[in-house]
Amino acid sequence: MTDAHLVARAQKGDVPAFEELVRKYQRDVYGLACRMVLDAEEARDLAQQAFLQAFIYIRDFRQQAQFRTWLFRIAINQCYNFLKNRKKFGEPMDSQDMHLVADDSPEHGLLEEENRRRLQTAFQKLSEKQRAVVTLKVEQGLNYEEISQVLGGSAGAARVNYCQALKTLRKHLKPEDNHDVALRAYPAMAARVSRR
Amino acid sequence: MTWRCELIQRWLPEYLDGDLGFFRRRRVEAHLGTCPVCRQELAEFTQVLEFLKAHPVALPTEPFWAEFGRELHLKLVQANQTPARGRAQIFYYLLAGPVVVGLLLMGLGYLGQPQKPVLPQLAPAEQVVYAGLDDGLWQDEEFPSWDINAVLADLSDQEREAVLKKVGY
Ligand SMILES: [Zn+2]
Repeated sequence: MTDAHLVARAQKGDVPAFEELVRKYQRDVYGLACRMVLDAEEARDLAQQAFLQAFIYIRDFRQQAQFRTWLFRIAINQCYNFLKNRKKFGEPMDSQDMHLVADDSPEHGLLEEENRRRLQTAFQKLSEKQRAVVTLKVEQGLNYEEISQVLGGSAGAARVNYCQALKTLRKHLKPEDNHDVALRAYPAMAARVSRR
Repeated sequence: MTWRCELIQRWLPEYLDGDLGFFRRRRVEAHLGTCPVCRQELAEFTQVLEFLKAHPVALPTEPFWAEFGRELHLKLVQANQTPARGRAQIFYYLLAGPVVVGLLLMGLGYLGQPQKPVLPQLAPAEQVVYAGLDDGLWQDEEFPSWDINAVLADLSDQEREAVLKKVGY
């Protein structure tokens, strides 16, 4: 069944139809929230809230829009609010303390773990908007026009944000003198790992 | 870095995506053929993107999603039982909290220390946009947005300084 069908049914209060949409997009929404708040446990709660909000306001959804884009917009707003509160109440952001991955994620090797941590640290240097743009573009495959529908603003602004974000990520993924896991070293190391 | 390099480097992400139009693409390729700096830049962008794609968010396994679905199901059923009108009322009650807090904060803002001038008061939007246009920060058809706060926030420190200086801040 298409999104449009499921949405139409959900708009009439059909919970199972909405739950089919949830199953279809839960990984996307969760992944997006993970990148935004950089904490797997919070991301889970935010994904729940996003779906609940989407269900409550689904009657406001107009069918000419894409449900996925609309859902992302809700999820991103949940994340923005969360981050705003976290800033306001001064919870420190320390990648060492954060849950990088959910407790029952498949286990990864040491190198993989270290790379993820580097990426996490680099993401912390991005503005919230930049995090959103990079994730929507690279991981969710949205184009600038769609990104501007999710985030507001123009497609041009999304493009500028994307460019800036890549520069910032590059800067913070670059090799440090005494750090053995680094961006430049990555392809060689990955090749070594995959040969095992 | 020349202004030309700066311009070309702005297009590199789209070049990588294959999103550039024919003429712009040709311009980028011609420049890359002669400029090692921009070639290096392109290589590094490529590496960042590969790194990102190689490390997607670690998605949890099935039991997590089963539990996720169960928990959400209860919330959805509950929301479904709340009649629309009641829901609207709850919405306004929920809204009342933040509104009160907002008003309080606004009040405090007025009573507290004088704030730094906010960005929109610096210069009219057009001035910033045209200043950036003059400096080649963006092109005619691609100036970022009329939202000055967003524009300035997205610039590098250097670029921001240049634009603000130009509009006489
Ligand atoms: Zn160049």
